[in-house]
Amino acid sequence: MNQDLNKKRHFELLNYNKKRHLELLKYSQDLKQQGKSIHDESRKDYLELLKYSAMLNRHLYWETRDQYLELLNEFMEKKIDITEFCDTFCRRSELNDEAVDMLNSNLILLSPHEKSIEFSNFMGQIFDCCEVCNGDPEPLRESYEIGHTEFQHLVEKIYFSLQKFLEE
Amino acid sequence: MLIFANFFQVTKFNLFSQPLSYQPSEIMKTNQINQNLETTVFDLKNHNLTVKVKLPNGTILCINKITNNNREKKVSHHQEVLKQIRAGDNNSTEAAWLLIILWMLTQQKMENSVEAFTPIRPPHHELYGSRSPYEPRRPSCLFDQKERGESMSHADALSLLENKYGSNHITFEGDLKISEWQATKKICHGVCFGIKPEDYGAKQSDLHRLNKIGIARYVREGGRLPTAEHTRAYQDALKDFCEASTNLKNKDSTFRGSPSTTFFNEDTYQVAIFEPNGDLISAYKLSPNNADTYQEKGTIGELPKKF
Repeated sequence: MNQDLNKKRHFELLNYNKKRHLELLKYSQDLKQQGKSIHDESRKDYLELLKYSAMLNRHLYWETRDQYLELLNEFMEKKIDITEFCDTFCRRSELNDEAVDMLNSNLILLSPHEKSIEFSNFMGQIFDCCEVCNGDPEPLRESYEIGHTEFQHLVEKIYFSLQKFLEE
Repeated sequence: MLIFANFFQVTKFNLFSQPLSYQPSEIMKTNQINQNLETTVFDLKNHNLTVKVKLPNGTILCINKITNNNREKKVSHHQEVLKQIRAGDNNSTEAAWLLIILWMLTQQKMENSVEAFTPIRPPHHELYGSRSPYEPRRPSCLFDQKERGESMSHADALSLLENKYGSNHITFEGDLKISEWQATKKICHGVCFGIKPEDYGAKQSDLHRLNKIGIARYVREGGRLPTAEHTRAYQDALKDFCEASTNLKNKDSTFRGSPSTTFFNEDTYQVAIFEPNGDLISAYKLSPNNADTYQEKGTIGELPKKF
């Protein structure tokens, strides 16, 4: 993750305005009821609301870190294979994304944790590994895809960096 | 928070640690699993679950009619309680969070439990009948041997795939191309574009496996390939998505640091990503976090090429 973007996100997190978030959610829901979309009405408001949703999304990653770590441990100990790991990892992330929708639609807001930014970066990297993983031999893989050996290697590296980050 | 954390552990154990060995049609009722959990009803056949949580102040928080059928969910809450847990009420935020965790765990557990194991049949048995004795064989090579647990050699698998897909593709917007091969590889993301595997006699778990182990290896292992109709439906859905005027085209985006062309829907966060030569890379739904990064930087994929 780009360092500047990380810094920006930390600044936004420190200045998180729950009241404003709630206001934007209500505004967006009102527009939806009228058959309109917030991004058509106000680009600025849309991007601001997206930032808040992303913040909430990252916080959910952080709150469910034990489950991600458990899954990573299982994979590192070779209790599960790549397919099962990727399936479970992606499904868990989808559930987090769906939970954001659920929270937003019910106007339930949570205060984001400062470590959620870096943690979700690690999760994003693992998601990417899963997305571009392809077990076919090299001639059948695209340039942006990675084989199972590389996948294992990358996830190991991310895992150790993550451990270090969590110990800090 | 600590109280809720402990409560969550207990609840999690009681709710989900039991082996899911009962029949899908069986309905399990557990009353007063502990002091906090009022009633839990699983209906695995209809994928429904009701969870009621009793808060320390005596209020009962309820999630019911959680339906996981065809990814359509209906979640309703006790409205009076909802009013209390909306933003700003610090006393019950943790309770709300607890419900979300319960909901997520349940979704995953139920999904796993209803996926029955089905035997995978070699595709050539269904697609082409038995292998013809007159079919010319490729020259012997390193891969031209069956490995343990595989139903055909690498060369045979490639031959089958070439026959089925060749270089078939659809083109649109001049230079954009969705080949059948690539669409099949990424067809597990079809659900993000309304393509339901069950409508085409396929299982999402099989499509995930195809995506992860690779299409050739999947065939070698006897995995059943998606039907031509299924692949075509996914190709058409992606074409429609890219051609829709509501979706934004960005020719200056990057995917894992390399140039790409991306189509993005600002409401749903769906994306379709293409290589500079017009070939489809992938298409799926971004998380709000990734959508925010994309809007900010025009990039998708955080994994550095050289780690």
